[in-house]
Amino acid sequence: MKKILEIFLGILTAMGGFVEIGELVFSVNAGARFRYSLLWVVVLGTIGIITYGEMAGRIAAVTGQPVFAVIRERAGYAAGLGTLMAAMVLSVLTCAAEVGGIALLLKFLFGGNYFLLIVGTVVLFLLVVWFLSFQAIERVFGLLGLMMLVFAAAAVYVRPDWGEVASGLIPNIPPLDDSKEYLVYAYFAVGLMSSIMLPYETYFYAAGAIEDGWNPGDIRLNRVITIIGFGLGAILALSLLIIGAAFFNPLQIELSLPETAALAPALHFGKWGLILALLGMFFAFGGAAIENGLTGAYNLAHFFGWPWGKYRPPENASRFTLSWMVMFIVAAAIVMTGVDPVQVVEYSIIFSVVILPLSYFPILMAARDNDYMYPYANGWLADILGWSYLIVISVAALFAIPLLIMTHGGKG
Amino acid sequence: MTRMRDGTDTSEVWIQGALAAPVLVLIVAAIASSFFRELGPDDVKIAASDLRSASSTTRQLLEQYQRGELTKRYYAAHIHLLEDEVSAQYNALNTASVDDTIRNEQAETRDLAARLDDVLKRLDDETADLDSSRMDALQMTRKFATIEERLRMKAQSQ
Repeated sequence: MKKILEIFLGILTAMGGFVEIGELVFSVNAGARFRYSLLWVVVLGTIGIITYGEMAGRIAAVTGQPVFAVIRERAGYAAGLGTLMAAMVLSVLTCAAEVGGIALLLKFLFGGNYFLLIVGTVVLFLLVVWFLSFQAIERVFGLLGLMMLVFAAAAVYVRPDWGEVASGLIPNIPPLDDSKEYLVYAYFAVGLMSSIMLPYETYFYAAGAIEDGWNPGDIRLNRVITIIGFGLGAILALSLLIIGAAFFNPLQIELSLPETAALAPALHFGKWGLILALLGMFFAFGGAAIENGLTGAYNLAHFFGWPWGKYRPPENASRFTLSWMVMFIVAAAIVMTGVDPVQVVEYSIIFSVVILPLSYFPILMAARDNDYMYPYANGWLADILGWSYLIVISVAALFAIPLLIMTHGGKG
Repeated sequence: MTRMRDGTDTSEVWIQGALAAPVLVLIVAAIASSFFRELGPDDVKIAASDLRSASSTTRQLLEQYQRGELTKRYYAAHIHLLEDEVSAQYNALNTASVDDTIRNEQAETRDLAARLDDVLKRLDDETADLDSSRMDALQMTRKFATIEERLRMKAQSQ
């Protein structure tokens, strides 16, 4: 019974923690711009994150090794260090964007000065991470993030064209006005996939598996959580894209503020729909901010071999503890400059594509290594999916930055 | 040759660093140069598109607020942030130098941005006429869309 409850909570947590600020903005704007034609990218990205999340969790359960220990071991010190530096920059940028997004949300909910709200948000997160256990943080933010399901309900109420939805799930390139629009379409495809497969998700997921004390007996739990949890989480991303297509596209609105997305639930469920949507965003962005703050500290500790873990008293993991504190403070300092959180996260998502192959290749190598993982190495399906996705993300990595420049950040 | 604790040559790290440095310099140079060049059809089209989105959001906000679907705090914060966004767009359009071929579109977009900014400022006042502001926002959405289309054609022909 305890195991079933654990699986159930794990699935709900993975689902509630699936969407963050970048994914919300990319999904809604993808729908607002190209209607349903990019739905297939959500499916593609979700299978990708399931594939690599499952491998990272399995490696952690079998060997007790987190992702950056694997990267250093498989890619070597120099390449590993380069990946670590890039991952640190991206985690701090993503954390900054989430903190900025939360400060804005608080302004929409309670009013107040944006800069003071940033300070308040970071102090709140420092206290949460200091006082709560890893599992409590994961559960509180993951489960309360499920308030985002109001977007799934709104996606049904906006009366999408279900025939078009079904066609959008099949890979396609729609007829567009001019050649530049095709580049923007490609930009959104790359950005949407990257927002779903963000590398910090696998770093954090594997570190969490070790924090939760997983062993080879938890491999089935790992599989169920990644497949069902991430799979159900994708429903949220699909719903956001459908809202973009059915609600924002006819109005000719593209989001510059994530909070604008709450207009769709408000249309059908009134003020309660609005409040649920804003609170859901608060916990979803909050979970992502904490995950990124902790991920920075995990990555450093894993790469340099420091003692780490939320389960250790801070004095026994002092460099790890100091690292996550610095991550939050630097993130707050970035958004205090007045930079737009949405732009920060869009850049961070596009640059994340570049390090995806560098992070995922060592995971694939380790997961399929029979000497290392016996008898839990990849089967044929994991191998085929792993190699296929490695090709897809390597191609995306080559084109991500040129597309960002050529399309003026997806603006056309 | 110095070796790191895991046996990697330090020269290897330096070579990789030296390869990455020009890429970083290029990115910084591209960002810096974008601040000083004159605006082309694409830039003004992007501004018009952002403003079209802002005016349409204003109209939608007013409609839903009047129907009682939004809290006062959400509505006020949204209007305030839209005002910041529109005012920043107006300043950018007003101060930038533009290509001769799109001077008319730039002036029209800038003037409409000023009008939208004015509507948003008036909405800060509780006694503002919401119906007429909503109609204004709707008209401006259409005008911005028309300018966008003209700029798209010009960008294509260049």
